[in-house]
Amino acid sequence: MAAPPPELIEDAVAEILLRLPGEDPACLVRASLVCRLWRRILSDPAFLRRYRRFHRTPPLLGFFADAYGSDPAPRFVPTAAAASPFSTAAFHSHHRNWLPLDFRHGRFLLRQVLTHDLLVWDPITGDREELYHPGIPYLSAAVLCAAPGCDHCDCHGTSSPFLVVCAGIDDTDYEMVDACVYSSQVGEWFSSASVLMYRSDPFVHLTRAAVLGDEIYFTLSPGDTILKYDLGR
Amino acid sequence: MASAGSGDEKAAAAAMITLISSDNEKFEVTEATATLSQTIRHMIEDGCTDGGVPLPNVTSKILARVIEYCKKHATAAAGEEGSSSSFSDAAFLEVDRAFLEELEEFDDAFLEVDRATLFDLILAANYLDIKGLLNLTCQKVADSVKGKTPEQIREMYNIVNDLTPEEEAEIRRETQWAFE
Repeated sequence: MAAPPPELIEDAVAEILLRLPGEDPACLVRASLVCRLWRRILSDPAFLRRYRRFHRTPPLLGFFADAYGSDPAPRFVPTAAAASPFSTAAFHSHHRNWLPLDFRHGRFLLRQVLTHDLLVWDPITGDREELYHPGIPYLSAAVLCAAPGCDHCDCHGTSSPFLVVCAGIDDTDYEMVDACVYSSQVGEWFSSASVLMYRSDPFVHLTRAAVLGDEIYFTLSPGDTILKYDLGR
Repeated sequence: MASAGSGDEKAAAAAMITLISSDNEKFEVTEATATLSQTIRHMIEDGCTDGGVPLPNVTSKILARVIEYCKKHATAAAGEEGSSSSFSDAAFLEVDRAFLEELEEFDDAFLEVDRATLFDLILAANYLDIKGLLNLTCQKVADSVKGKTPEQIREMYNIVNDLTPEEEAEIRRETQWAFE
């Protein structure tokens, strides 16, 4: 009979765990139950940052979809065969009447269908922070991490700083587009910009935001207008 | 310090390094082979390889395998460098592809070892800081862990479960989805 494998030192175990597939998160969870050392490595934030850098592009496990109708709630639609930590039922019961607006840097931005209040929620940690209404009739909004110098490999929760940027059409002047920003560190909304758009059609729609560095882009439809909101200015 | 700078090229071509395993066996290898190990590379740079490099953490059985790996990969690296000037682009690509295929076959065959040897190779690759070997061996273990239960992993690799039954039950409750 072959000799039993020698005990591995921590560095070597970390090298092995680093190479577990990100496409199958259950594999990481099961490995964390092998022994204390494996568990400690797998739950160490520094290791997890290293893991994300090592695997570069994160796998797509599924997406959250709007579900309107009589019982609105975000629904998680798995796109991978792998087991998922997100249970559709749990989402449903916790977020009845909330619809997804945006997801970025580990945080989910939801909108209450009746009051239009906003909620930032981390589906991994379970952290929630309800924001009161921004005060403008917003049509689109973006959530993003506000930690300085963050590589976004490990941002989550509502205790680390985040921003929410809303954009919408002024309800008294259809040609004005307003934007406002919520900073989690201050806990308040700031009305920050208004732009005259010269349009004749009051029935516009703002698409989901795209974020590039400090710039947030919204597109106005119908039409071909792109709004840029620069956080750095 | 005094010898550095004189006849460097000649020295690099002929330089041999002696590696000494934990059971006192000596292995003569070229500098090109030895410097696949970052640990040994640093020792050479610091000029502390005269009289051989003792490797108290590596047995002769494992060191022989590690050297086999380094020789193959050092040859491949040298071949690639040499071929770039003497072949046309297309021929170079062809040679390059053949090298890579051969290397891949070598790596596959190299990994045909029992688990104890595989772990010894990981420890040696980690200690000697040989990136390619560490990646190869660790990926093999990671692949074998995929789809296994914690019990199966412990049994495969002789790992003692030091979690209390209460802790284990608690974790399982929190992460039930991963065990369904």
